[in-house]
Amino acid sequence: MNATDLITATGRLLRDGKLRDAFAVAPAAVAGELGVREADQSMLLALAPADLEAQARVLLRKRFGLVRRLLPMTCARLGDQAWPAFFAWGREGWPEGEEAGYRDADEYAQRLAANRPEAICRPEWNRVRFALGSRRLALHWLRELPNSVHRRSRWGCQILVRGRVEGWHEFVVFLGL
Amino acid sequence: MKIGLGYRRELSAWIDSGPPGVSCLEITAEHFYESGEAGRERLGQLRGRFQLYVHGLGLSLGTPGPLDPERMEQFARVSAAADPAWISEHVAFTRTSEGDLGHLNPVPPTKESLAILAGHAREVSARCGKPLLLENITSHFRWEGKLTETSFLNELCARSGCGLLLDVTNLYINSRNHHFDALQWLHEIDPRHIVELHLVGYSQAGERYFDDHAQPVQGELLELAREVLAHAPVRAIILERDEDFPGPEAMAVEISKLTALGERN
Repeated sequence: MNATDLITATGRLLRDGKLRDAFAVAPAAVAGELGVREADQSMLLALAPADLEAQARVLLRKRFGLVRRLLPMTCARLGDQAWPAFFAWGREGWPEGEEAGYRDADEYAQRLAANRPEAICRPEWNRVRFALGSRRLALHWLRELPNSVHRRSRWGCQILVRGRVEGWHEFVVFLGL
Repeated sequence: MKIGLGYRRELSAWIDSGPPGVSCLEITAEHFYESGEAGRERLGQLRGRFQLYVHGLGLSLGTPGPLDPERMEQFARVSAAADPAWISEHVAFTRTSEGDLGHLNPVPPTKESLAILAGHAREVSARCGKPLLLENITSHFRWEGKLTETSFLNELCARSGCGLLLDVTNLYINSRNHHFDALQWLHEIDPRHIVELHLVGYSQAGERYFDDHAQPVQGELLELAREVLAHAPVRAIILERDEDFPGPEAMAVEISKLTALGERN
């Protein structure tokens, strides 16, 4: 088996909260488990677990920043609880690929749906799910469509359409005046 | 000396108004990766009015193995459209062979890292046909290696032929979080390497300092920047505000702080 270089080993620690917890308790055992080259082990073992955790939190904050951009109203409704709600599960897994931010946002909304459903802004979540899928068209009847003209939520239909060539578009039809 | 700021969409109207004191802009390459023809046109407009520099966040120069060819191609395309005086990236890794970490992390100060970074830096510079500057980052953990950070950076610049983009805020934050003397660190850096400075306010939570790029530049940062300017022939200072953008008047105040630095030098 090839030995693991320091960059790869550090990356694993930064992406996996449970592994960091184990490193804080038994660093040598985790270094062995990671298969770090013997020549590099002393450098890895010299890392302070608290500092590693602080760095991981910075990376998690960046991930959360993307979620907040995709679910702004949902996060605004959660207020100070938005970040802890993300941190609670975000530190244990890491999404991959170009749509990682959308996957994080979807998972965040799914977990909220179980615990704080009233906080979810449905049009935002619909957008995220549509972006992750491959459907050409989605229609959602909603009573909380934000209306920037009337500055209050209105009944209406959210229409999401995927183009043949580039991206997807959103249209909103409000009911009544 | 050129004074300017990082170009951000939120600031574009203010930038288009031609704010006094702003003579250059730093373009974040990744912000233009998917912008197509409209992005190239925008870069063309900006290029006609300001000296541009192109700054990368995600080439991950410190990752072993080849550079990501798609990202390299996208970066080179933005560089070609902006025709900058120079390009820049970080002394960091943002991904491993196993996945993306989404942000900058410190590379271990080893001979192996030096070889990887220097090789990647030369490749990026050659691909874009532009001089490359390398930027020091903040990190909450610090590697203990045979090389100090300053000897690592000096050696990296010498080997790669790159200059240094000294982020004064990052230096200050690291010196507070890791309890070292920022001035001593500065004087260990070969002044000939330092070409550009980044400045933005820091934030603090408990005993830790953070670079959230959302605060006005504090006095102690200006003091440290003055020391850098006395030490090295800096050619540009960039305000790197990314969050909580203030209104035009407050932005003008931030720029005037940098202008005053340049005038005193």
